[in-house]
Amino acid sequence: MKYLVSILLFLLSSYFWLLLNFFPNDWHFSQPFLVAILLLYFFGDNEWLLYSFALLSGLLMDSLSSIFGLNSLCFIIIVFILKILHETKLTKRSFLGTTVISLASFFIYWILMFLLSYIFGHNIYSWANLSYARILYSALINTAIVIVLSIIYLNLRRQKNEIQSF
Amino acid sequence: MPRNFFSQFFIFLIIVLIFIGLKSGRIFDIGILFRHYFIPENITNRLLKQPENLSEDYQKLLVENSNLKNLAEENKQLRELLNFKNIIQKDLVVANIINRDPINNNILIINAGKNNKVDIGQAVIINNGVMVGKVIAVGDDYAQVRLITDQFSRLAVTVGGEQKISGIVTGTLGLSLNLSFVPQELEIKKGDLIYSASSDPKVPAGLVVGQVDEVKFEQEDLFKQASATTLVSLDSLSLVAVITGL
Repeated sequence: MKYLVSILLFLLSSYFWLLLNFFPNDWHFSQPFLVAILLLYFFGDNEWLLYSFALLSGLLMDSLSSIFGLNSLCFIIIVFILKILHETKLTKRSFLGTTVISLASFFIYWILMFLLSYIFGHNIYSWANLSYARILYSALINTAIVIVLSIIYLNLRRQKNEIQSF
Repeated sequence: MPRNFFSQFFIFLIIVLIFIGLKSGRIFDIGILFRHYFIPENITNRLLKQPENLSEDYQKLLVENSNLKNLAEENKQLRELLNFKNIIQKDLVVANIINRDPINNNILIINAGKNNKVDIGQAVIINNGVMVGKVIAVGDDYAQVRLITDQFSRLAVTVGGEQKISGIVTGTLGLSLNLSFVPQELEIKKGDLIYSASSDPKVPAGLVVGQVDEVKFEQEDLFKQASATTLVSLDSLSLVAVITGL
């Protein structure tokens, strides 16, 4: 049930991102996957599942992208960094922690995209057309989606627990 | 920090790298398997093989293309003749050249005759009113036309636009024209257009006949002479019109 709700939340975030039409290429479609990974990170407790989801979503994005492996590497490294951050004072249960981790993960995604493209010398993406304002807006939108969906999910779970307690 | 963190990360990192290697063909070209099993060899051969009936279709298309070009050319000529008819306000009878005289190549046989009001002496033109000859014999449904380049052809002409210098154009063995009987005192030069004169009642004045090429002039001669050329090639005529409304 928990994973079904995660998938539904992912579909909701995908639909929301499709409405926005923010980026001219596959970056546009990778954002909902980032949101879904974060939601799974916050509410899931199975790390293998989280990594597997990151791998599969990355491979799916890579199959649609012109550079194979870039999104997979990005997603897996993001999960790894999030796991390290989880061990620090940024706990995932607080509102501030959720916001900071969400923002950090989205900025890490762009840093990794830039970095990996630079290392492997990919000239397919036109970075010149990508403004920093769009990156900032997208990070803010993603964070908002994560927070809203987190609240919805937590409320749903609480209601379920209350019903079960009767 | 738990050891499990790094192990999980490295396992998935290696999986991604394996996928990248497989996709790029550095480890193993996985596409060979799919191509071998899902695309049978005969399909590949069939795609690479040239179609058998290609040559035949090409020939058909060539013929069709040639016919279309002929139709387009004929259409263009007819449009020009129609346009010319509106300008001169005379009746035109459009005719196809069905044959040439086997002895004298400068005599054409056209498929219009008395039934179409074609008469001896009438002018034969092509598109835009360029005169190419005169009718010399008429049957019920055919007529003979002598080209202006024929050596027995005679036509009263005027040279130039304003001066109206008169002369006679004769053919020279079907090759070019000879302009003679031009008065000495009048000036003609290379490039002047030659028009039909109004002296012939069955040939309207002002039809373009040719262009002055080289002027021959000697002091002791009474008249000037000049060689002239036709504006169109008379060897490849297929459609003509006879001016019958005179």
